[in-house]
Amino acid sequence: MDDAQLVERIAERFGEAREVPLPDPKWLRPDAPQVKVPAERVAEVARYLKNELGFDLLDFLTAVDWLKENRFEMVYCFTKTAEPKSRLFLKADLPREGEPGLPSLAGLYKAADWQEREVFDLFGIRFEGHPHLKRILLWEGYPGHPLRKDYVHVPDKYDNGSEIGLPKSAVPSGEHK
Amino acid sequence: MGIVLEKLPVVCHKVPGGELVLTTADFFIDWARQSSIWPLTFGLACCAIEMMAAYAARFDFNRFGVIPRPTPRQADCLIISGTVTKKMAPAIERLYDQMPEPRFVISMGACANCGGPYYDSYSVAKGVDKVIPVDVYIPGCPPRPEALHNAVLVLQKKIEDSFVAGSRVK
Repeated sequence: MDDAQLVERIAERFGEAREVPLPDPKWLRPDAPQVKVPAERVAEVARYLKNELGFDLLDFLTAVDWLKENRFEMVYCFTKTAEPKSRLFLKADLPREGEPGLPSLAGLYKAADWQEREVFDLFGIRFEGHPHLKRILLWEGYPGHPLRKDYVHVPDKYDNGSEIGLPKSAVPSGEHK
Repeated sequence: MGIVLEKLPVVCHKVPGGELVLTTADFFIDWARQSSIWPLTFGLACCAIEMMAAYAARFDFNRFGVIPRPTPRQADCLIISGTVTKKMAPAIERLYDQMPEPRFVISMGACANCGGPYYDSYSVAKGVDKVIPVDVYIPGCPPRPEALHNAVLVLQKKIEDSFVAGSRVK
């Protein structure tokens, strides 16, 4: 089954799934297809990938904060380790407002457990059905989620007063998406 | 004996059967403290690798009387070798509190001095001196083992100057 067939099969099974175009045509195309599904169906799609298509390994999961488009994007990378090997990126959009959340994959892939905690810690995205959704890197009671692009650091007793980060004039005002 | 008597404020008397050395209690206590700075076995980040090299055969910290101790209750010196994260700071404070007086702190490398390359981070303390008092700062990223040796020599000089009648004056 080649990449095009793979995307077709997922799209056939989950009607709302679609292949993701590159944000910029100049970008190098990754060697694996990227499929976008609605956030609430992620666990369902992952179960299908694991049990029926043989994607037995979750390489990593992470999140991206697209501040200008006002959305988070979850990114999952799956690998089929049996021959013929295959790879797939699964993506899902989430709103930035309120408490964004989506189903947890921790019950399906052990690898998802700590990585979902990391995403929860740094982005504040909640994973429903996660067995132990607590901060993993920062300490309990930390204010905010520092990998959000609109995060503002509140200086504490270990900082030098209010002086944190570069002054605004020193930051180049380049466009970044 | 290995002690260079000409350089010490001592009086040497020849007595039948050997020699009798007289000196001040202050000098003797300082000399003993200087010659056995026992640091806590405690590494935080990549500076700890240089610290291990300083202990090992090629650089040989033992010749200064620097012997790592496994518990803060036996240690005189705390070498902060690496990045002090805000999550680690309470643990460092606690280790420092468990050390008996007189105790000394060497801040090793840019991170421990001021936050270093992580100055703009939300999770790194801007220097270990925000947490505990520091006696000697070593610049470098990371400092070479020789720099750590030099810090111990500086600390020895500081011990010599810092105590009067057994208590710390500066």
